[in-house]
Amino acid sequence: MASSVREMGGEHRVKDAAEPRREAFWGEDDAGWGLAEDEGHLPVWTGESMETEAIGRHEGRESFFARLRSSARYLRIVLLVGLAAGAAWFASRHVTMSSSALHSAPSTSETQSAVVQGTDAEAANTTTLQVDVHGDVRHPGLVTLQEGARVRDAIRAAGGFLHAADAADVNQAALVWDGEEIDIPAATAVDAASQPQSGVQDVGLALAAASPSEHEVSTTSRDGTGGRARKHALTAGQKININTADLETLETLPGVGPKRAAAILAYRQAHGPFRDLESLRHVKGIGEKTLAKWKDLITFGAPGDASSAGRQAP
Amino acid sequence: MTRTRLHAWAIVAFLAGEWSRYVWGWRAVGAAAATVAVLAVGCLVWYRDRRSLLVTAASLACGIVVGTVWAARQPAHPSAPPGVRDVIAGEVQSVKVSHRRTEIMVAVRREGEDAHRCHYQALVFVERGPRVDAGQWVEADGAFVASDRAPTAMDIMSPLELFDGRVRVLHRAPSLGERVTSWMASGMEDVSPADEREPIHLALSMVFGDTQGDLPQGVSSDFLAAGVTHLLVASGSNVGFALDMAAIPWQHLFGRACSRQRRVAYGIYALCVVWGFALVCGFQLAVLRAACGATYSIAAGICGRRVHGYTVLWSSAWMAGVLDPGDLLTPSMLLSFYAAFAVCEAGALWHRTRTGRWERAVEARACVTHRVRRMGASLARAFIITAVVDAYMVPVLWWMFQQWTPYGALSTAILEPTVEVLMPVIVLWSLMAGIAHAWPWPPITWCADGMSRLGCAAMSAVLWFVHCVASWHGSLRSLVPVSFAGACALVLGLVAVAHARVPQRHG
Repeated sequence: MASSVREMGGEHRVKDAAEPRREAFWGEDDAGWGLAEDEGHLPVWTGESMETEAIGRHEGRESFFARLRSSARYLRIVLLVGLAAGAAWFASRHVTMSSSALHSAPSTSETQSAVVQGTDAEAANTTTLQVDVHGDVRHPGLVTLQEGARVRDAIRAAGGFLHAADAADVNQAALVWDGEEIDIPAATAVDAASQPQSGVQDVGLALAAASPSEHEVSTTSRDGTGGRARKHALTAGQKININTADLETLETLPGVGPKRAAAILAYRQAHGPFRDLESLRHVKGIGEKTLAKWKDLITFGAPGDASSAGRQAP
Repeated sequence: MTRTRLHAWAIVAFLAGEWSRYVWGWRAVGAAAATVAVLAVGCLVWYRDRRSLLVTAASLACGIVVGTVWAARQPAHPSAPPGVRDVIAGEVQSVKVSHRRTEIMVAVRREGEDAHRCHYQALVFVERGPRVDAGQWVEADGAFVASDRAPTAMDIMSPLELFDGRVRVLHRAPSLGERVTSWMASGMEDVSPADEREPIHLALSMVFGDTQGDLPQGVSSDFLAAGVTHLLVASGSNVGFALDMAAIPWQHLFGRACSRQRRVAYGIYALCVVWGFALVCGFQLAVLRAACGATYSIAAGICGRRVHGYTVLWSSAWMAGVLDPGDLLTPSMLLSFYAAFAVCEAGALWHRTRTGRWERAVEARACVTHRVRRMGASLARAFIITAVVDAYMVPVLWWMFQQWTPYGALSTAILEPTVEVLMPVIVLWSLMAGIAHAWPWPPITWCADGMSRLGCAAMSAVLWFVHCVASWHGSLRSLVPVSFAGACALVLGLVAVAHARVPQRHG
C-alpha cells in the first residue's frame, strides 16, 4: 500500500535537516489547510476544550462525566478508522456474495485497459474469480481473487500452506480459472496415496471399478499448467466439462492420450474456454470422427459452472 | 483569507490552468478558468478581499502560459490520428500477459519517423513479440486505436492512448541509477557467504525502490498482501533518509548550521544530496515530488523560515506541476500526493488528540519499566497514526485497485521503525561490500562478511514477517468497484469526521 508514515517521516526529516532547531511542527499561525486549528486557540468542544472546561468547573476533580468527555477525543480516530474499515469490509463482503452470481459470466476482452487504468465501476466489471481451495491450507474454503490470479494467490487467500513442505508439490505459478477447485496435497501425500483410505481412492482404481459411488477421488496430477492437485467427483454417466477438465480427466475420453489431452489444455489456456463442439476442431488432431464420439460425453459449461474439476452430472 | 490559504489557492489556480491547457487544450482551459473564476468570486464575496481575485487571475494566466510552452515542446497527445501507421518509442512501465496478447504500458517520449518529443502514456497491444520487461525502452510500430469505451475519471485525469502493433526492444545504455544499483548489488553478492540474492535485492529496493523489477514475484506479492508495498518504493522518507545520512559527515566537519552563511552552505549541500538521490532513483514520480518538497523546505530553512506539512505538500505539487505537468495526475503521482495528504491529516489528528501525557510518559524516568512503557507508547502511537493513514488511503486504493489490506496498519506500524533502523545497516553493508570488492584486505573482507551476514539475516526476518502477515486469512481482500464520485464522497466523509466540531454550548 502506498500509504505510509514514511512519507511524513520524510517530510519531517527533511525539515529537521533544513532546520535542526525547529521546535514545533504545528506552531505556525497559518498552520493547516483551511480546517485545521491553530495550537494556541483551542477548538470548541474538541478534546482539549472539553478537558479544560471540565477542570475549570470542578477545580481539577475529574468527575465521571469529565473522564467520559476526555475519552471522546479518541472517538474521532475510532470513528474515522471504523468508517473506512467498515466501508471496505462491506464492499469485500459484497464481492464474496455477488461473485457466486457472477462466476458464470465470461470475461470480456475489452477490460484490459480498464484493468490497467483500474477505475470506475463500469470499466472493471469482470475482475474477480472465485475458487475453492482445500487440502493442506490453513483456512480451506471459497476465496475471491482478482482476474489473472495464480495458484499462489489462492493459497495465500486460504491462509497459506499448513506445512512449508507442501510448497514443493504445487506449481504456484499456474493461472486459476473462475469456479476452479484446488486441492493442496499434504507433503506426505505420496505415502498416503499407497494406502487407500475410506472414501479416497486412486483415480485409476475408481475408473477400473466404475464405481457409481460419490466418493471423491484425490489425485496429485501434473497437468500442462504444472503440478496442481484437484478432486474429481466420478459418478457413472457423468459428462466431462471440457472447459474445466484436467489432464487425467481428459484422458478418460475415447481416443485421448496424454499428448492430445495436453494439446486440448494448451489450446484452452491460450484461447479461453471452448464454446461448442466445433470450436474443439481447432485443436490439432481432433477431427469429425472424434467429435462424434465425444458428442454425448462432454459439456461446454463456463469454467465456473462446475464445482468439481471437469465432471458434471448428466 | 490567510496567507497559507491564498498560497494554496494560487497553486490550485496555476495547476488548473497549466494542466488543462497542456493535456486537454484551449477548450479545457475555458472550463477550468470558468470554474476557478466562479470559486474566486465566491471567495471575494465571502472574504471581501480583492487580493485573492488578483492572485487567482495572475496564477491562472501564468499556468496557461507555462502549459502552452509545454504543449509546444512536448505534445501530450499523438500527432497521428487513429488508424494511421505511426512509430512510438518510450520506457515500459508495466507488462500484462493475457491469453491472446500482451499489453504493455509505455511512457511514450518519442513519436514518428522524425522521433519528435512527446509526453503521454500508451497501452500497446502486441500479438507476438520479444519478451519485454518493465524499465526497458521499446519501439512500437503500428497504429493508434480509437477507444469505444466511455472515458472514466482516470481516463480524463491521465489520458491513455491505445496502440496496436509490434514492438522491438531498444538497447540503451543503463542509466546512472541502474549502474549504481547494479554495482552495489554485485558487490554485495560477492561478499555474501551464500548465494542470497533475494535479501540483497530487497535491501536495495528499500533504499532505491524496485525500479528494475529485480525482486521475485512472490516477494512482491507478499508485500502487496501484507499492505507494505510502499516499503519497496522510493518515497519521501527515502529522501529524508538520504538527507539524514548526508548530514552526519557535514555536522562532524562543520558543526551545526547556526549562522546565515552556514545555513546557505548547508542548504546547497542538502539540495545536491536530494537531487543526486533523485537522479540515482531515476526520477521516479514519488521521489520527484518528495525532492520538490524537500527543496522548498530547504529553501525556507535557508531563509530562516519554518514550513509545515501542508505548505510543503502544496509547494511540492506546484514544483512537480512546473517540472512535469504531464504526469501531475497519473496514478503514481496521485497516490504520492494523497499519501502525503493522509500523513499530514493523521499527524494533525494525532496532535489534536494527544494530551501531553504521552510525552510526559516518554520523558519519564529511564528505568527498564519506563523504557518498556515508552517503547509500547511509541508503538501504539505509530499504530494509531498508521491506522488513520490507512483509513484515509482506503477510498483511493478502493477506487484504483479494488483492493484492501486489513492488516496493513499493523504490519506498517511494526515494519516502519524496523526499516528505519535497518537503513543505516544497509548503507554500511553496501559500503563495506564495495570497499571489499575494490580492496580485498582481510580485515575489510571480514567486516564486509559480518555486515553481509547481519544484513541478510535482517532482510530474511523481514521477508519471514511479511510472508506470515500475507498468509493470514483475508490479508488481501477484493472490493466491488467504486466510482470516482463514490471515492470522493468517502474521502469527504473521512475529512468531515476528522475535522467535525460540535458547536459550543454557552451558559
